[in-house]
Amino acid sequence: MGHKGGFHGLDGRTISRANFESRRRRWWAGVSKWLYLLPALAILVGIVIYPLIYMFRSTLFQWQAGIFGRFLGLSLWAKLLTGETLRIALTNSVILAVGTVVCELLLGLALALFLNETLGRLRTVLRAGLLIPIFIAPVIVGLMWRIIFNPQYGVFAWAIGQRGFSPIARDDLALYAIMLSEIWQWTPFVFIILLAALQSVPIDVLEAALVDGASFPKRLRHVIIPHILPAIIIALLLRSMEAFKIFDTIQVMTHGGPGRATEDMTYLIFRTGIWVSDVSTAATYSWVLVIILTVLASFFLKYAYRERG
Amino acid sequence: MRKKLSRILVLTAVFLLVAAVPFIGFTQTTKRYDGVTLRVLTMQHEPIKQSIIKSIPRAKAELGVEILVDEGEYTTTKQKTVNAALAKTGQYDITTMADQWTGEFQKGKYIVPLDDMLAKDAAFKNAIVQVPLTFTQFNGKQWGIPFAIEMTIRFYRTDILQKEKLEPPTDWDKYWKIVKYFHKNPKYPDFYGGAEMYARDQGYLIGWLNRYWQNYDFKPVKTKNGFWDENYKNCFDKKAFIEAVNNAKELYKYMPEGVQSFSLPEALDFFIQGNAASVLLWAAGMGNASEDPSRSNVVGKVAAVPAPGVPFAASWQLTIASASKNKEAAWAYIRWLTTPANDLGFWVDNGKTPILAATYDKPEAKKLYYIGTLKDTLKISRNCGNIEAMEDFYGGDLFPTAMDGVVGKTTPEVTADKVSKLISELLEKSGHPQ
Repeated sequence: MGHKGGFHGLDGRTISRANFESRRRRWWAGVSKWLYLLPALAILVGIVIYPLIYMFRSTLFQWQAGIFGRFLGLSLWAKLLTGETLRIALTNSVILAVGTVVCELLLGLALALFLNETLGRLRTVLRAGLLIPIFIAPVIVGLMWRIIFNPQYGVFAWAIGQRGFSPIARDDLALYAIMLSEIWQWTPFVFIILLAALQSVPIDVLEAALVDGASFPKRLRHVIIPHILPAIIIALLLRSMEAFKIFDTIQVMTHGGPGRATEDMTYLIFRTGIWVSDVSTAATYSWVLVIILTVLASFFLKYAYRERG
Repeated sequence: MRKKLSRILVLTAVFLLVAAVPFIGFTQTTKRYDGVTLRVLTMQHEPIKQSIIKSIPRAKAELGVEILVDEGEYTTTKQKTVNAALAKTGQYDITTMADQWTGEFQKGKYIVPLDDMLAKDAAFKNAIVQVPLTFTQFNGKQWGIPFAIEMTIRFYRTDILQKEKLEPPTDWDKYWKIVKYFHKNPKYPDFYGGAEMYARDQGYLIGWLNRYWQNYDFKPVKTKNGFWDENYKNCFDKKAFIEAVNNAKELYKYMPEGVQSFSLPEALDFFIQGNAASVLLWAAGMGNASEDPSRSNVVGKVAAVPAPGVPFAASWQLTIASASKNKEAAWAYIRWLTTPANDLGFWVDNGKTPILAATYDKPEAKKLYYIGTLKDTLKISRNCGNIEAMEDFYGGDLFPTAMDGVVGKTTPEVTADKVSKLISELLEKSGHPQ
């Protein structure tokens, strides 16, 4: 209880009103930041942390078709991590991810550089036209490419003059057919990010390089790319995350086949979790994918922060 | 006079009453379920789906029951059933269940056993084709009533085979002859001896399973499927499997180039458009498609034989959900769907395979040309059996692993070892230590 000019502290000493107010403000500053974070934390825990923990728990038990069974411990992890199925799916995922991202980056950059030099209405028209694939639902893209690759009446077989040939029917080519459909759809995404970045490169720096006699490859390497590197990293990060999660086109084009030739991690999780209803196995595979994507994202973000300096 | 008149009136009334009794009895034989709504989850295969949907008005008129239909393809149907069962909402009263789900569904108590209902209807039980009835017997109980029997049938072109003096593909030798004859035959450009369905995912249907069962010696081993015996011990025959895989591997060279990407509708269309001399399909996959002039170029030119080797049979069965609040009405509806009249009608109109033995011998059933083939196929076909992890058997790693051997990713010997190991794992998972 305070009295005129001050308050009694817990140790019996008298605290001045001003002191008390200062302590109260400091206390509130410390507590309020957590209160402001509480809604976001609640959402994070509710829709990310808790499901991850729940999913990990389900890897420790046999859980199939809604029936929670016996305790397995880490035996399922040991079995699946050393199994051939995971190795095949992971290999397919890595090939798909690396292949699509590298090709999208190179093509996207080439298109952005070209369009950046294009003037007038042509640029607007080309930009709009090039963006069309990303507005098409992946399922439709898959159907479209399936028709293109049809061995009897597809455009692909006609174009190469080999009626009856279909890359999605060949276990050595099917993965690259999926890759092609993904590159077709998502190169415009990389292109638009890099085009925006290119337009922020200072013109005076470019002109200075030109005056100094720098060729285009030298300007690209020493001026343009350093300036647009953050945008490249963002594009790489976003596309890498997505490239590891390709499902729609695989489901429509090949069903993971022939055999397991196009079964990536996401399709494997679908097959075990949805088709076979083996939730514990699917959860284990999901955790493997979460770990891989987290490491990948960390790597990219660390590099991005370092570049930002 | 008055007395006489009244006597005549009474006698007439009595006569009319007596005469009316048989009719009253007739109209009140089938119990009605007016005001009851049954929710049915059906598999999307057209013969099954159309049989249920098209008969809704008649079910209403004859049983009084209102039918609401939901549908799904294979995985969706299973997911919907499991989710509804876990939520205990009674969302579905009846579901069409693939027989391989029986182990899981009975363990989770998602469906009710039908033994009590069948016990009161012995005539009906005996009238059903007995083989598919066994597909959903688990732990000594009956869990489903067959509604559509899936069998692997080889459909073939009668006109072309007769023209080229080739015999129908009733066994592997004759099938090989056809396949080799049309392979790169200049008389038949872009034409093939055979096509297969599901090669891209369910690789077993390109012929190794039929051949494996043909090679397997079932006499010394008490097994129905050649994978595990009656004590659930692994009895996989690697030698029989290796020969079957080599046969399939060789067969691939004569298949249409795109066959590994064929889904069921694509294989069907490939054949009915006139691009192949034969095709391996589920009976329900064909339905009456080859006789439909709006989509078929081979109307009247198709016949069928059981798949060479030992054909594969499975089924879609009608089950009653545990959470259903209308189990009695659901059973009445199942009985109505499987009456002799409906069994025949669904076959003739929609191509849904009959489930009553007597239907196969009815003259009207011959309207669809392959009814005799279905009857023959049922006698010789086999099923892959039923354990709790049966879904793993079909949807897990076993068949893709076998496909690795067929396409040459691994040698048949290595593939055989892997498949045998997978079978043991499945049996262990289902509670049968090896």
